[in-house]
Amino acid sequence: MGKKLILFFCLTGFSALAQEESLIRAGLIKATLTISPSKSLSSPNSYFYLHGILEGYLSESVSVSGEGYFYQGMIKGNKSEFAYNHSLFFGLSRHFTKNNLDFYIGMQPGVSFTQLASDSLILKAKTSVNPSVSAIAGLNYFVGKYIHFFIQSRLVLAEHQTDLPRNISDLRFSAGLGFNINALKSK
Amino acid sequence: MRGIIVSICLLSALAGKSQVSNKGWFSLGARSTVSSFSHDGFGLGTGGQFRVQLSNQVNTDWFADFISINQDNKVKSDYYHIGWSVLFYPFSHKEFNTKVSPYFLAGHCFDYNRKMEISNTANMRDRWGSAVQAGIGAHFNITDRFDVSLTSQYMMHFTNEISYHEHDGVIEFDEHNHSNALEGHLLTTLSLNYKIVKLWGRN
Repeated sequence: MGKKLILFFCLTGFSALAQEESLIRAGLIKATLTISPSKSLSSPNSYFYLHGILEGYLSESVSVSGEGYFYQGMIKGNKSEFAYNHSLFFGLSRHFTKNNLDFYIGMQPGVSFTQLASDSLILKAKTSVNPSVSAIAGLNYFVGKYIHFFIQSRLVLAEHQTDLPRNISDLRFSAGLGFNINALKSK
Repeated sequence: MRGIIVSICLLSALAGKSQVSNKGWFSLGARSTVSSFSHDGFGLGTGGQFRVQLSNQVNTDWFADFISINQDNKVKSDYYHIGWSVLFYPFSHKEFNTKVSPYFLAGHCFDYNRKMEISNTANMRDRWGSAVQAGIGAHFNITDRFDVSLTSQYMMHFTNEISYHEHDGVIEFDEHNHSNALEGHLLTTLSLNYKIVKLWGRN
């Protein structure tokens, strides 16, 4: 009788585990806000941005996301050449998942809004709207139904084109804690 | 008897496969474009597109692009394209590896070009126009619904081109007719697309 009880609890336990919902599936929505440092590809300068991500999963392996970078200046506190260098990106990513780990790569075309800082050479700088190309790679770890940790790197290719042309291509890094919710019930 | 059952299963499987249809798919995507072999020079572009597939071998692509070109660090040339292309798949998915779907495409677009002096953006000139484009490409089908597409097409403009001249350090713009009827630019586009919904032909 005792053995049968143990067997019954083991079976029901395994059954409950098997029925546990997969976190990474269609309908998963995640959002985050973090600080993102970057390294310029054309100068020794390093910048940082406030980086926001809003992403929705179309399936376990494909997601669509919109991301924004709000320019915060030079990392070392030196006077920046730019008054601002904000950017917006939109694109799709391919995900490779295992349990709660989620590695992804993607491409996100975007637009950057830049303006050089006014100085003795440029009395009144103009805003430049520049198309940009970006590729991303990253890793998410979903801790539970509502929280995940993430790291992401992004290569951005773009050029500022008013007043004085400047190559604004850079490599950006982001990491931190994000929030997620499943908007659709699992099938 | 077992052979008959296996044969019936195989035939029904084949029959089921032959009914697979791609018509009716509506896809949405984002795209990055490189403009080259142009009078203006080399430029980068960003944009989006949607597709409506009409049959197994014919698809339509509706796009918008914003391309910016730096001309000799003196002039910023912005192109805005909004247009459409028809994609023709020479191989149906029954004859070709469905992981890769090559295609020919041709279409039309409206384009707007604005050239402005980089150091003095008030000095600018613009024009509206029309263009046709044709080329080749391929979908790389990552999943049933997700594809990465690489397309290369030549676009010919049917309007006057804006060019700039520098006289004693002053930039001046003027419009001129094409010296060559085939003048335009080569647009190479990398796009990511997702089939969102099948508008018709669901069975």
